[in-house]
Amino acid sequence: MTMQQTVTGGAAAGRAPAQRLYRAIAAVLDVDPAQLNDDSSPENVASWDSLNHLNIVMALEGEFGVAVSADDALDMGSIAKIRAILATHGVEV
Amino acid sequence: MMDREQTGMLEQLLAEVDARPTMASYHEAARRLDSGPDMLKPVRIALLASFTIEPVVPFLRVEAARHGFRGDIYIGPYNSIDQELLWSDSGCARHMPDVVFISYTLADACPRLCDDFLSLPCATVDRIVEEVVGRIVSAVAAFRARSTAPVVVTNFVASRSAPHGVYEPMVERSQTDAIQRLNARLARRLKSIDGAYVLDFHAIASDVGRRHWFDAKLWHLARAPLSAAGLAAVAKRQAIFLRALLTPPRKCLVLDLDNTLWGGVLGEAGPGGIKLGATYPGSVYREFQGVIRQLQRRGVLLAINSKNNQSEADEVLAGHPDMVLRPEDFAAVRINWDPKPENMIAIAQELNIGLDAMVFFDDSPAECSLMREALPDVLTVQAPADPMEFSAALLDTGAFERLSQTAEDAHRGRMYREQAGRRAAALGAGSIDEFLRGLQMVADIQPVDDFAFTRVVDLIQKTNQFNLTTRRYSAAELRAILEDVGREAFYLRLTDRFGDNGIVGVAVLDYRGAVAAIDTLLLSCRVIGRSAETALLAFLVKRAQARGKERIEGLFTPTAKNAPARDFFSRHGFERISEDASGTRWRLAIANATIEWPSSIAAAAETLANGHR
Repeated sequence: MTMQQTVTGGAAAGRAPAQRLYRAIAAVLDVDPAQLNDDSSPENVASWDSLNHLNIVMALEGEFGVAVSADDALDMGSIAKIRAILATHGVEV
Repeated sequence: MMDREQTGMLEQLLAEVDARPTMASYHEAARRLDSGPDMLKPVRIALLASFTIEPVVPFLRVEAARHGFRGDIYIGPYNSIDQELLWSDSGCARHMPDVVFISYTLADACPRLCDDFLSLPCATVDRIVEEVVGRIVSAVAAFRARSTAPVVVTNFVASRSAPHGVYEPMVERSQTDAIQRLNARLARRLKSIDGAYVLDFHAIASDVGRRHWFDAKLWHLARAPLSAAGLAAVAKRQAIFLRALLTPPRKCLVLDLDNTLWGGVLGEAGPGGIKLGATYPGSVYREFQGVIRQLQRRGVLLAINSKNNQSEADEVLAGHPDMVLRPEDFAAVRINWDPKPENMIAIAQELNIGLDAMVFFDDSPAECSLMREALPDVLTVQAPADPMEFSAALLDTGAFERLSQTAEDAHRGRMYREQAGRRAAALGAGSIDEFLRGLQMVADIQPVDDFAFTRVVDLIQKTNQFNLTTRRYSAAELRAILEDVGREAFYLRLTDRFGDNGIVGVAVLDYRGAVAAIDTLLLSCRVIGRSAETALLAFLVKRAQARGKERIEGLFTPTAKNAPARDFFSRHGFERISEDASGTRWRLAIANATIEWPSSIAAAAETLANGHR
């Protein structure tokens, strides 16, 4: 378990990291987590617009206790890219 | 009354966001509200901002639900606040909002104060402050002139990079000082507009911490300055505004004793063994009592509803050196072993207030659930496990929040204690007449002026029982009545040998028709049954006669609560002339007749000068 995970509490903390990732993004995009996969991106999810992109950044910061830079936020163009960026913060999902 | 299953679902949803107040949690909770409780009261909200405010929406929807509202939220186009307020066909106008929230960043509203502050001469700073405030205030005033929706404007947050660095507080005309003056001017100017308020962004930013409330990357990427923590804090305060604007404040805080006002159980530990004092853990309870004292000074009535031996509890209340609250601070006291809901009803009756005006604060989960079950109209707040969180748990309900302060509020507790004295006198008096005469009442009836204005609006908004027509005039509507030569509004102030009851009656008389019409006549519940209504009527008849009217007419509109006023017209000899959906209409010929001023009340000299007799 990473440092970030130890500081997050509540019911969601018991879930597997990947599940937490999908659930957080799905909550913002207002879709079923099962509809999302590594390739999900603004190109193929209708509700992933620029506003929800901001919301996803804030949701991930809250969920995993990380601080994302502006450049990282711009690079989060798909769930695969989000996972790669979270990995650079020591969050393996 | 709220459906229990729905209330349970809402509580569960709120508990989850409180455990994890993140963007994802709020989004999830907001979605569940869509399919969820339908007992929420719909409220139409417009958000106008100079920046990207959209991310606040799920936060505001959830926080509004906490206070019983379903927010239907409109967001104005980015940075077009003036157009949205001024155009009669703007998106904001078409949304027909119940409440409008306006927010600016300092950088948007007055970039010159941000960009190169040190280049500005003092006179220029002063001019910019006046210009910015003037622009905001005139747009708000123009909007208020054609909309009844209250407008809540956020103030400004001082920059994190003060130009003078650590020396900033010592600089007389610093940027920080300019922003403080800007905020003070904004509040003062908005206060002159009915229905305009300041939402204290500066206080929220301090509370969250400016470092955490502002998110630089969101600002630069999308002109969205607020972090998730900032958004949650803003939404909580907006929701409290919704509550204060749309729900009457609760009037009475009813407290348990053991493990609430002090730590430990008095019956076991004894007066010397309870936790209450200058050091931990007693200091925590002492501080909580201080918070309650502030509520009381603001006009909230206090009462005790506790299972203790009364003599032991009285000993602590009167004699414990570290009690902040004393017996005289409580308007009603029930210390016994009866079921607490029964005590609650007795307290409500004694204070003559509704159960929906009461808050119950107790540490026992069993007592709290019993109270919720038996009396759902009472707002029951369960004390948290840690007494250091008592104050926040109580204050975060927003139950006592109000958007005005009148002199009566501060004295309400004293007035209710005097009321208790009057009740004791009533028990000792031989007859009602004797009792009333013994009160040595003096009534003063005057046209509504600026000093009385706020209190009069307050009475018009809140009086349920002795109210003939229950017309809820807003401040703006009352202002219109005062400016109309065809109508007059009066207030009645009543003093007696126990003290000053303050302004307790209001009447509006309309002379525009062939007859004089009683538009409004109401009395505060604390003076019902004391003939004050007869004094008001006698005064109104004189005024009508002075205007050459030969008849006076009135309407009684029945409501669920105004039975005490039902026989007002028949008692005073009015003839019933018609009945329709709005109620019963009554008439009295006054060409050669008058209404006797009640013998148990003296008329103040000013009232006599003002047209009575």
